[in-house]
Amino acid sequence: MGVPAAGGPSGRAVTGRWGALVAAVARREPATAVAVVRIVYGVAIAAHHLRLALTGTWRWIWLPPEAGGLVPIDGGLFDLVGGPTADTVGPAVGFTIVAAIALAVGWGTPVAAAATAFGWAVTTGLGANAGGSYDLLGGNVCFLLIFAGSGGAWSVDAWRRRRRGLPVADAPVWPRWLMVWQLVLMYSTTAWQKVSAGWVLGGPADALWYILQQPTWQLRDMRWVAPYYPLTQAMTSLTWAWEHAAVVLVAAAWFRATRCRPGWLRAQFNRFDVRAPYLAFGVLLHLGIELTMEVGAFTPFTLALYAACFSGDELTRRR
Amino acid sequence: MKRHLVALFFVWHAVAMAMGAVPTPGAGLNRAAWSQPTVQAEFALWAARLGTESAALQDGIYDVAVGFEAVRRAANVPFRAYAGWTHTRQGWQMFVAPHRFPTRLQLRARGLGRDWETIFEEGNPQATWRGERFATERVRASVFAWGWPQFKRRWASACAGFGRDLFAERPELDELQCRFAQVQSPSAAQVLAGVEPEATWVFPRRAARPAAP
Repeated sequence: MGVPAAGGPSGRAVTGRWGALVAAVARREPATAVAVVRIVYGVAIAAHHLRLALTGTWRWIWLPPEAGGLVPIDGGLFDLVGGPTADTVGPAVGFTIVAAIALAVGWGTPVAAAATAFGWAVTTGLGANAGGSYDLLGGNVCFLLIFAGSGGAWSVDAWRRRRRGLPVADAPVWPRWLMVWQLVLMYSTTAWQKVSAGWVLGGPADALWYILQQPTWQLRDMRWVAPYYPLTQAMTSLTWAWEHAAVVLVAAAWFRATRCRPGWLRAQFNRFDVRAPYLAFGVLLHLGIELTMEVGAFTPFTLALYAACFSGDELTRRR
Repeated sequence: MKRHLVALFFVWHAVAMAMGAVPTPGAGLNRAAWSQPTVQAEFALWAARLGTESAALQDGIYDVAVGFEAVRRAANVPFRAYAGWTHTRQGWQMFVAPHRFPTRLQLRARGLGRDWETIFEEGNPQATWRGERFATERVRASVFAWGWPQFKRRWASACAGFGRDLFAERPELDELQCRFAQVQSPSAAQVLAGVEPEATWVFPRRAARPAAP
């Protein structure tokens, strides 16, 4: 499918690259792909905050010492309501859980996404050293979910539309594309920073071995891996190369959106779906991390974005 | 008109995120942290690989990093407020280097005339005080940070916080010691040979029950 020209301000076609971009961004599709992202993020955020609430961990990490926390923290927006105390942060944790559940079920979806993004931002913004990359990923994707039209499928909103006899709501493609872009930026730039001699090809390739031995993240003693050390070396090099290759996801999306254009590389990308092997390796990698290390909500957050690598049309056809 | 605005926003967001994601040396510019054995081991590996002296390599890297960071910060000025207000910050330093000299947290406590009792130790199933909290990724991330010298004030505060909670819960305890065992992670060959590397205790802190008024 080629990219048509966009209508200009006076109804004239806007041509050229800008016109093609305007037309591409204006396209719509079934909301299934972004609905998967919405459901996983909603469930993961609700479960994450619920765990912190049930164990009382939020008090340690999101309150200052005088209120029962461990280390001094920056109050952020809580300074506007009297500072971070049990009476202000506690309700914020509860609010985030409720908003995330509403997001998961797709009830008032854009508002639920905005509320979840807000709750995630104000709570995770409190901790000093008490966070990880999934804080950033959660903030970025929840922001995009506000605009993604993800309530168009598998949601209370979609059910209510059907009951009123309204047609199925579709979704704009551009938030999904920005989710793919986010995934590619994350993998690519983390790969660029893996300049340790233990990661870079040609070295001892022992990064994964030593990461698995680190008490901070491991779920259990990992010395049992020693007989399989060559396998950890192979996985070190494969992971490093795989993260560097993330840009193939952008190439695949672009070549599929412009499949009618000429070009040998485009033809190869459309003949063989590179997304499938790339993402399959990613699934195995993240499942391996999940089984051996505690990395918070990072695994569901990342794997949910894999659904965004497929268009709503593709996912609907495959069902 | 709306379609053009959407396209403009699409481009703006994509560029803003890309600029924000450009790697920053950030905390790596703190040369005090470079004295850690893990960092020194990394420099030694690269110096050997490049055929240069470790000290010269460190000076060269520092100069390049400072210059790069200045350019990166200037290029991000137009996007910083947007990323801040929308909570769409970037920064993907994930397992950039293996920690070859990791630390393992241990908390032990005692009452008057009693022996030390290890109440929490990472990886020790017999010492699990507040284990449900220490098991969360967020507390793990904090514990990881406290094992570095640049976070010594937070580490002192955290130890006092552990003491506050512990003394409220266990009236028979009066003194808490918080410390880290630092040990060079064994290689696979050492594990297979049964070698147990020696641990060194670092960053010891102490919390005592406040005297009754």
